Amino acid sequence: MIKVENLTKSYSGVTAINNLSFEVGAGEVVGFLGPNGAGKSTTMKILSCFVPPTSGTASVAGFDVTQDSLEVRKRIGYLPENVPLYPDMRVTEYLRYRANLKGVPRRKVKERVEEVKVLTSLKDVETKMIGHLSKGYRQRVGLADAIVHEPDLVILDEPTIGLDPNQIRQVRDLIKDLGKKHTVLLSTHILPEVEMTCSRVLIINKGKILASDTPANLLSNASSLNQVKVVIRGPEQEMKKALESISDVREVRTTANGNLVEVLVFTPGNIDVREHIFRKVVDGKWTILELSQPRRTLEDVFVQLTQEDEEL
Amino acid sequence: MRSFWTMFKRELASFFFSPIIYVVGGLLMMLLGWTFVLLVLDMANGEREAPVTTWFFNMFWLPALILPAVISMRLLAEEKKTGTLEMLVTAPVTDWQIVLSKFFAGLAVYAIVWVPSIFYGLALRFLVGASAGVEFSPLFCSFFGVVLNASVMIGFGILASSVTRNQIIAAVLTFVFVFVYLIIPEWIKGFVYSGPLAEGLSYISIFDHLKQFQRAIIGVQPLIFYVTATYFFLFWTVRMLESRKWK
Repeated sequence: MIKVENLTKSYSGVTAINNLSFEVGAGEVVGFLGPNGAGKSTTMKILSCFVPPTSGTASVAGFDVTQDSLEVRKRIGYLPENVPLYPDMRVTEYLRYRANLKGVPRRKVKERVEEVKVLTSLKDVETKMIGHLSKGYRQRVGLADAIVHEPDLVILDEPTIGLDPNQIRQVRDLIKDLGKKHTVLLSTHILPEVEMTCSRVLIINKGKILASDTPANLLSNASSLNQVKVVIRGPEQEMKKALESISDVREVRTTANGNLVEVLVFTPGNIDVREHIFRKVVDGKWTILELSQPRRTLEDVFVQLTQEDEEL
Repeated sequence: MRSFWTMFKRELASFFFSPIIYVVGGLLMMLLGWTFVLLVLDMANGEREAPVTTWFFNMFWLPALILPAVISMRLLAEEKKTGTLEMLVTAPVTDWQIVLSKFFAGLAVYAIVWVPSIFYGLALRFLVGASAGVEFSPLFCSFFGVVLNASVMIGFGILASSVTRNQIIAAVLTFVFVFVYLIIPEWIKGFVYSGPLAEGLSYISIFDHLKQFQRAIIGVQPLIFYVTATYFFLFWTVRMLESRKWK
């Protein structure tokens, strides 16, 4: 659905994205993550034909964004970050205007607008002026606009920014539903959201792709470290040596607190050493008071990847 | 074509949501009404030849100084400022469709504001009868002429509106343009009576064109001039819209 090859964009000398390449297949829901200024919005603006790339190519459904821009624009629904709307129009009026503009067949405009109003829970404000709506409602009007012509690809730039937790949940459900019929590319800073909605995650920083995988794979990625926390009563040094002898353990950190020792055991992400730790402690005739494996979140992966990148 | 009409209708409607058009339109009607009364009084005293109805198009320049600037200032500047331009240009419409729909909406508003002028003529015709000497063709030609020469000014106005996000700057630019375009040729014509300069100025002079229109003559020269000049400004407006792609 999306094919991006060696895409570079610089604004008056500043490189926003640098030699970016990725592909998104039909039906995927892809989360686009990265720190502020990483180039997410720029990539989305290029895909939606708002700005052209400096070099490289991008195509949507086989159409090039610079050469067949009109064909691309027919097939995408784009929601920019700040959701610009006409404040002097009423919700229904605006959606019908947009449906007409985007070439929804004339006879279907009314019906389709009714459908998207139901989908985005806009029925109760349909006769209100957009300028009088709250941020959450305006966001949903923008979403309704993005999907009104049933585009193949929906591009959402931070669709949940500025929403309250209930609204975030609603938008998340909506995006999940969208994923059943459309290809979705969304950017966000709310990482749990990505874990719940996206079938794939693209992490970019400074205009380059750092990772591209399913959320589950990213979490259990072998290159990232997993940790187990153990609280044991026993001699610190002996314990450390015993735990370090377990194969696959990369590092053991201990902090003594009276006769209790808190131990952090680091292993590669896809290896579970909890049973081995238990055996060692039993062998040493010490006592385990606590054994836990804090669940890694996408946030940890994100922070680790982007910070490692900063250090390079 | 459908995209054009969709945007044209939305643009036209948005004019009538803003109070400024009512204020300016109301002022213009007061001015027209006042001129009309004066002219009718003149005619009643035998000081002026009938028909008076096309005469009051002579004061078209006064509203023309203000109206095109007020009408065209928001056309693109507002969309740039609020960011809605991003929504517009990422919809499947061409830049020409956007510019043309906005231009014609502006021109339509200008025409709508002038429509009462036709009613003055009709009123005179039906109240006084044939002796008022009102003929329809000069009346409609004058109206047509006033709208036609506005196309150049609104054409420039939309270009001014495309170079800035600030509506006030756009309005001032258009005002300056209209002022120079209307007043300077007339001023020079005041002391240059013949030669190529006088001919050239006459070619672009709205006042000279209007004299033809008042005699129900629609010349090819003025038509060509207005269409080319308007096309020139619209062409550069489209280029300005495209300039987002060069940055």
